[in-house]
Amino acid sequence: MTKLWIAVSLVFLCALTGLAQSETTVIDQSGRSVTIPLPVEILVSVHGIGTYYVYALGAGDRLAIAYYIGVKTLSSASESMLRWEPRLAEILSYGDPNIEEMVASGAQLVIADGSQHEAVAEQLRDLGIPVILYRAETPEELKEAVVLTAAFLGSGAQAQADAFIADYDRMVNAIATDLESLAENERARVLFVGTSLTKVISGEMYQTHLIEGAGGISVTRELFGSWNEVNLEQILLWDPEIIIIPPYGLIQPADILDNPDWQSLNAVQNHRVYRMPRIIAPMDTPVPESLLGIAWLARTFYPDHVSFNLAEEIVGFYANYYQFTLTDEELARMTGQ
Amino acid sequence: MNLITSQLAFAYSPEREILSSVTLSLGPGDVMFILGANGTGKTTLVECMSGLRLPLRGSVTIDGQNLYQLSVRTRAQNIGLVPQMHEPVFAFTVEQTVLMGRAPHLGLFGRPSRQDHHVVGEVIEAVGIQHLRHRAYTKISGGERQLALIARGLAQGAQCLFMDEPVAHLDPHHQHDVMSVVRQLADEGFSFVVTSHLPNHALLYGDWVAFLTDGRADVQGTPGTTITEQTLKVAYDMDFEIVEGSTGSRAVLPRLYRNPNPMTW
Amino acid sequence: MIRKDRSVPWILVLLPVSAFILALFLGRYGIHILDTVRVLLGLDGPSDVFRALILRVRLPRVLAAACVGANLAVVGAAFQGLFRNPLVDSRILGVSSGAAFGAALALLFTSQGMIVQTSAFIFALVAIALVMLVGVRFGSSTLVLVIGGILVGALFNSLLGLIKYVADPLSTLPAITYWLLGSLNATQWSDLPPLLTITGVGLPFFALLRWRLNLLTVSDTEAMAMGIRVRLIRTVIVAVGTLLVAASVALAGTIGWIGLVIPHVARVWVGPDYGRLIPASAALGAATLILLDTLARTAMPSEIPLGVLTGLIGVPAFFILFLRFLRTRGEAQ
Repeated sequence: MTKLWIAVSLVFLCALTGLAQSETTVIDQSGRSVTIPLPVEILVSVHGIGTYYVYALGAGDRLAIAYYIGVKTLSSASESMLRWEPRLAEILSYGDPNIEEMVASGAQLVIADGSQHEAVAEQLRDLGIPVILYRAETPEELKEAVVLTAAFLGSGAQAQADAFIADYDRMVNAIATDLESLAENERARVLFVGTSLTKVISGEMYQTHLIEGAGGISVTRELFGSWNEVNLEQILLWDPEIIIIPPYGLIQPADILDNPDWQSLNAVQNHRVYRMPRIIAPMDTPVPESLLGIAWLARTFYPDHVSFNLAEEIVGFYANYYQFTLTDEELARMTGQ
Repeated sequence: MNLITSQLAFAYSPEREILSSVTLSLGPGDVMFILGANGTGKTTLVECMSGLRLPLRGSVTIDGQNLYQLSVRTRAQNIGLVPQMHEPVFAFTVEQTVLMGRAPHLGLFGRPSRQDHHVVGEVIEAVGIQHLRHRAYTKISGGERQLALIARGLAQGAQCLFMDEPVAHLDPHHQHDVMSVVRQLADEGFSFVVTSHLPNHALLYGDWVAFLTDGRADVQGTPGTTITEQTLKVAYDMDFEIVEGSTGSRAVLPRLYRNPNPMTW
Repeated sequence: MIRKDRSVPWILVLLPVSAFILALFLGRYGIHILDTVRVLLGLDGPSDVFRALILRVRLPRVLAAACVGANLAVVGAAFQGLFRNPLVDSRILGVSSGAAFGAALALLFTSQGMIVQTSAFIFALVAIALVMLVGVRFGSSTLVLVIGGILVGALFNSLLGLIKYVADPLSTLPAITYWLLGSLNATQWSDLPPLLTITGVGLPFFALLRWRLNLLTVSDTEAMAMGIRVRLIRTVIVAVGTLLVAASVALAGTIGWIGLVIPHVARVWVGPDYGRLIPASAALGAATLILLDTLARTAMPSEIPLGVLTGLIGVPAFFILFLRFLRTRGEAQ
């Protein structure tokens, strides 16, 4: 009898240790400790940026429902995206997360946006589904988010995350080295506008870090908050040498170049107004592709100074992280050649 | 000015005629009291007789002309309305309030001229409130407001003024202030139609009285002969007695049946 | 009470004109006073940038501020009398909600100012048409109009909510949010013709009709007894007022408080008589919005939404004025 008890206890203990080994505890970007049973085979992402962390770490096929930043419906997805993710029609979602649908999808983990999904996360936790909240607005936070994601995606993801961080640092360092000889007053003074001509980035936005990573100076770095509305007088006062338009919205370089009121700007007189290209995610947001955003900006700011080959970087990135081969047209669009 | 109302009928809904046939006649300098229980249609009658509501049947003529065929401006130049006491929203001065009465003499885009201001000065004096001229209408007493509204009617140039319960809420002194101005203006030739719940006022100030019952005004005549214990009982469904004062004045008192002398209990 | 002094008419002109001129001299881009004067006088000397800034950036914007301020204040004053309610402003009839919906709808598809403005204007008219429909059906008393306005306003607010929900948070949603806050930023000459035309017709209309507005502050029965065709005149005022508000809101977004507060300030100044109240409201409204908009575009590197400024200043101002208003009516101690 005693022997039997000991045997049962042993089996039970073994089972417990087994269980303990198949879960992990992480601190997410909202500072909350989350315990996740492993392995995570079915994922839901209601964070249009977080989705791309999962892809970059090779786990895109585990997404049952996913938000993609700026893509509301299948019709607003680019042809490149459809080719890249054939399951898009199945898993694309948008808007306020629907708790019941997430539960019905069998999600073992939900990825959400720390700036707007606290309440949803609360509800999901009550239902026993762990939630990871992301908040990345700086390169460091982007890297942190990628490492955090790797923690629950298994050992292969860990290596991929390390490779991504190494790539990111290598790119930023390469640009810094190339531009070492530039004096402060030779740095490009850049205005990053938004979806209207008078909407500009603040110093707290990721885009400012991208410009700085690419060796430029954002003329709006003193501003706070999110997108700021400014007036033309202020823009003339900043007198940027380069104007960058994000890869979303309806503004095209011609809207600025042909605008009579903007003619006195240095950027307009030198025809240095550019719209960021886009293949999958918008490169000015804290997605892994922002690594290419930095490269593209640096090449755009200093075509004669940078030594890396942009086309190679682009091809390499999409092959390594998105298992995706660009068409010649897509590559030309990205490199501007 | 002669205002003749004949067989006037009005209904808000087809099922019930609130006025079925009212015939009244008003001459220059007349003060006519319209008495009647609550809900008998006194206000409706005033609105029909002053041309603000089109009657179902019947006619109102003013010096032989059909009132309802006059333009709104001409009508307003002949007939004025002094509404029941109300609280205005904005603090217009008495002068500005009375000046509004000049509207029927001005075009759509017109503004009061020196002449209009002159008229206003005269009518304000006529009702004896020149000392209130620049006071806010919102800050004068109820009786003074009634006088200001009479002045406004006079400023319209009206020869005939309709007054809807002009002394409701006023104390006896202010009641008398208002009614004596009415009496005095009547003596100058203005006519008044006054709805009231005070048969005594009809006796004191009226030239003519009409009881409105069941949509008709069949009982009418000079107050002294028309206001009797019988007519009052029919009008108000209760008993009254008429008492006579030492100076020959007569007054209406309700007859009480409870305990004639409560002090002896 | 003593009669108001005769200098009022001069101040009425001086106030907005001086605000207007002052505003042309102020901006983020420091332009020397003398250069500004030269540009304004059409003299040679200042650079093309200065000329463009003053004549193509500041001038249309200040002009728009003047028109919008005057329109909202005059319509607010007129509507307060018309509805016999001192708490009313130009938004009472759901016009602004209609315009907001129209603008948001257009912003979903385009950022072109002219299209947004047109759509806002059209839906403002749709809103008032719906209110009038309710009014015609139920006798167009002020109460019916107010209820119609509340219903139509609520309807468009719900539709606006729907549009905000489907709007792209990266691009169109911020544009809609910013439009709703109200701003005159990026006003160009090409935006102005509709506003200038409607203001040019509507303000003189109210200026001519102004004394008669007094008669709408009394009950319908009284006004009718004084020879006023109340329903007709009320309909015309609502129609012209709506045009003025629609043109203003279409260009500037929903700017609150001007239509509510300015008439009360004007009443303290010249009294309730519409003969004086309308010109005073127009002058104060124009001057106030010019100055607030100047603050909005110069105080910080980024624009302060104009609607936010009018609210921040309007709320305390209204509180003080309304206490005073109640006191003049003898309702507060």
